Amino acid sequence: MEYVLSQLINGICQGMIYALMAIGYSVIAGVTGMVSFCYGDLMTMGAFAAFYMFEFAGSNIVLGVISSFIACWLLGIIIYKLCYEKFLNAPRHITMICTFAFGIGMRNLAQILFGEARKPVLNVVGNRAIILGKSIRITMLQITIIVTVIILAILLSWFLNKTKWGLSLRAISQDKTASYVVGINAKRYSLIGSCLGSSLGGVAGLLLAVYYQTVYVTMGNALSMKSFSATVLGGLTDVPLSALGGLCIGVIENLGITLTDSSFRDLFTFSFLMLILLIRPQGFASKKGARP
Amino acid sequence: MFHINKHHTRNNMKKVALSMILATTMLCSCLSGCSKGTSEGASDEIKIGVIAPLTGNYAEHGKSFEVAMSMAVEEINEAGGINGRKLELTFNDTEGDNKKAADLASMYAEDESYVAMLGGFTSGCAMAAAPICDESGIVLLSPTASNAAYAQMSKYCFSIPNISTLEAPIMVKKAVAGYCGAKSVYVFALNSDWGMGALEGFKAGAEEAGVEILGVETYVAGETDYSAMITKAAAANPEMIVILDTQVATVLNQIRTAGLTTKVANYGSSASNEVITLCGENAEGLVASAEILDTSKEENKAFAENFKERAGFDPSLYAGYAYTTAYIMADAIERCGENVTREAIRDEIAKTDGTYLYGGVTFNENGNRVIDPENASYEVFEVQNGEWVRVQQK
Repeated sequence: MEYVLSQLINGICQGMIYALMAIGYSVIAGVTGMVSFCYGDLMTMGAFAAFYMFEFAGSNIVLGVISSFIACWLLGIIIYKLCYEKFLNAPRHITMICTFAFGIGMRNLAQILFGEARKPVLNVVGNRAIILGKSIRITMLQITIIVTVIILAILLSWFLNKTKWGLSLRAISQDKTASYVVGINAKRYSLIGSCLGSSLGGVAGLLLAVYYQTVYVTMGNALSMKSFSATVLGGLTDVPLSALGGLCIGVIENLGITLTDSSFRDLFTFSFLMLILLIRPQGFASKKGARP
Repeated sequence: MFHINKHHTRNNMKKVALSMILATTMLCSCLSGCSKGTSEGASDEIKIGVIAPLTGNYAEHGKSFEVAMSMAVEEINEAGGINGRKLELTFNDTEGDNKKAADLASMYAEDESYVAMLGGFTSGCAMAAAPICDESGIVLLSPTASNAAYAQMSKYCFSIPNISTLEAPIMVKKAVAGYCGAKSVYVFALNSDWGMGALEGFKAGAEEAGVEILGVETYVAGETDYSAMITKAAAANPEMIVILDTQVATVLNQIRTAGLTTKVANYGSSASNEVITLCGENAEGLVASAEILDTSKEENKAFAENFKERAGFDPSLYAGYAYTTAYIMADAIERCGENVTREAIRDEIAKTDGTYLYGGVTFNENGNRVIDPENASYEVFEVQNGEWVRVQQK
């Protein structure tokens, strides 16, 4: 039993990172109404921004979060200007290809600038584990990750629900034309939404780098698919449900591995995704009309 | 209609011109390629063709091949050659490209004056050349093709590098059971051809050495989160965790952050410094085993020094292997006596049983080198204070 609880904690921790990725993704998908294929590379950039901050100013996780947030906010502006702004009313595949191309460009540039080699991100959090009961193991790193994600989620929830900006963002997410009619500057808020989502992705990248203690140029690729899946589970544009989707994927993966073998990790993720979508094509979202 | 026809004719003319240019270029390159080998073809020299990536991504290793093999051949010729005849190597560039490797192998195979081939840096190149060797009955002795499938492809194919199935048992005996004295282990293995071969070898070795395997966990390449595996391993409470993978840093970091202090050994990364860079203090106490050039032996030291002087860099393991292949080939040809034919050379290479740079060399029925743990430059290393240290066996 304690062993299963330990695995559950592993799953929750990993699920938290997926959840943060999914939150960022759903914000972007919500305000722009389009999917993004450069999200994985954005996460990598966030991780690198934090890596250089750690090199420059010492391993302080708060500084790391701030630097990846800012770096990805700036990248979010570029992505919005290049991939979204001109194509908001164009067929969707155009933006899709644009983000795809931008992602590849960014990755190749990073390969040139940062090099292919893996870089260490060590000693951000010490090697300590708390043992509860007989053998339930929670590491300090896991606690740090979980706390960071929860704080960010609370801040985001406050931002979206209690501020004028957040209200505008939600309005755009629901109906762009109608929000335009009531006097919301849709383009401006789409830009803000794109940046906010990118920044959250960047912080997720940083947390991945800290959790796995390395950073490398292709780290975001495999995980971008996971964040997309989590978002789809949550109904693509619903922020809290996307987070739930991420958490579910993390837990299911780890429990699956507990029963079988690590080689089957992705099998569990995507079987679960397919199963849910077969039963509920709208994901966890309650209304079918929720998707853009 | 007329317009379209005219267009077609013009297009055709363009095509003809283009193909003529192409043909000329190919002819030129072919001529220049051929002239390289046949310029001084005296009949009493024994000619061996080498395929190596002299340019391209693997150029550094190609250069190692060229320098090391040339050194060996010069030494052999200076000492009087083989039964009075001189050995001659012809180097041709594969650029690390499988197709080029196949073309070059055909070129050597069709030229009756070549009695054998050396080289093929990547497994891909060696495997592309293997069917041609099989068909023409000419030996390809590769210093570096480590894919276990390569040597099996033909009875004319031989390979020097350790394949994981054969090397992992030595690692169990020397590092796990020998140096660490562990009785129970938990194994993490990469789920690839290489990793599964290593696992198979590890299991066999563990059984022989009396090491109990408490559990095996495999994962696919690109795995980033090992926490579930580590929790499983911790629950089994083994004396040691063994990682069968060439990339060990991420797993090791996660084992240590989980607060586990279990001894960890690795097979696959050959005691590379990357793990120390990536793991820092977490790497302390990591045990690995690797084949190294034992420079305490006089002739090995001479090789290393000469190589460095000629190449400008220290010999890698591969350079040593290349040097070894030239000597194995020369010895096999010498045993052929007067009857130096492609077939005779194959048979003699298969019978190889001698001591070379890295210790004893024999080949198994597949054509892979068999490592004799008693007579191999195989050492156990441990990370101590941030560097790999050769440790004495307990």
